[in-house]
Amino acid sequence: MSGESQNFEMLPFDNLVTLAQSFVYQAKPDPTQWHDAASHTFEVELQELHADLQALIRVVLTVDLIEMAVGL
Amino acid sequence: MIYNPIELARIVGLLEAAAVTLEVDLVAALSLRPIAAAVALGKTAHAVWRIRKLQAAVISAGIHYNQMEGNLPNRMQDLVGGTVHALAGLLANRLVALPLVGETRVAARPVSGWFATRTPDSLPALINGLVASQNQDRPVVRIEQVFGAATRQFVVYLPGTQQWSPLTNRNPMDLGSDLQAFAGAGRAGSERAVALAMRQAGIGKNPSDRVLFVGFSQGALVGANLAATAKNYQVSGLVSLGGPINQVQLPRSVPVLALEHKSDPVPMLDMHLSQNGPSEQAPNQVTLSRHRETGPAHDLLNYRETAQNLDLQHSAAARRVIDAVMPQGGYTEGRWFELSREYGKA
Repeated sequence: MSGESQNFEMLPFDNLVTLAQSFVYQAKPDPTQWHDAASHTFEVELQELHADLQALIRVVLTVDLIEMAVGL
Repeated sequence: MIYNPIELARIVGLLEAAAVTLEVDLVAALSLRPIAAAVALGKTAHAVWRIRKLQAAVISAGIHYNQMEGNLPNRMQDLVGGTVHALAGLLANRLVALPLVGETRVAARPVSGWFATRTPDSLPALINGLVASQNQDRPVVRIEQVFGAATRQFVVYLPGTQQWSPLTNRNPMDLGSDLQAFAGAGRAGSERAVALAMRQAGIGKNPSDRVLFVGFSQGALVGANLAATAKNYQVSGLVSLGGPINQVQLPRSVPVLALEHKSDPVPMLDMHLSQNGPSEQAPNQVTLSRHRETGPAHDLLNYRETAQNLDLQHSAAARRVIDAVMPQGGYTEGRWFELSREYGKA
């Protein structure tokens, strides 16, 4: 390709998951705008999702460390 | 069920932000070691799937409630479509202090020679140049040079967002650029690529070069960022159609004409009120807000139609700004430049 170009880098993996977590956290339902039962169900789903993302960071960091230790 | 459409849009927008961030993350996962990458890819894809499922459930709940209330389903479609735009604002607020998520190298190259074209002499004529850019089947900007005045004059036409995923392909006029353009000048891939195209067009060889930016949506924001940070050339004006430009600090001397449909959510994404007339702080900067009764509010062709029907009899300031930005001269040449994202080392 002719023409000029410039370069930028991406955020590391775990920072991006943390960012996604913060969006999930902010998506907590406003109880005044929801039917009670639906609000509760949705909030539980969000909490599970939040925990999943936390676990994802931990697992990946652990595997990454082990791989480095054994020199993979 | 959700009682309030705004709450629905907020939730769907935040979930969209989380999903898009994780989709970006799928690429970042490739930077990990092999086993960690495999774990990350699987689990991240699963998390994205869960978020999308939640989104669908929330949208469905909202549609159900609104139908019961007698609202038209297409109103909900507009709302959900609007969250894509709302997403940009939400994410941008989070991105200001962060490094460049998803940004890449960019490139620009001319894809035509200079060709003779009509000199734009009215607001609809300027929008026609933009429509021509928007209608191309590849990411291009059109740059025109207007001859005949003492200084060199250029018009840069900047189309809106063309790709709604930061990862889909090489088009820099994408969601990632939307977010970065919100976060500040000099970051968005589209903005950096346009700057390259401008340099290739010869803009800035002479510091007295005058440049008018004409942009729709993201293009207007990119134009505003470029106008705010211009170094090697003079900015003769900015014409914004449905652009969220109010948070950009433009020099007082730059004439700005912003045309907005009142029902268009995109100009509101900057979370700043539009200035509907000149002020002491910005005597040359005017926003024209108009009702749009038919068709989508955030649509370039509808903006052109609104511009064609503008009655500026009682708006001396708008007439003055239009006169100020319009290039002077008798002969104009245009050229197309293709923009692209590039991957790999610089």
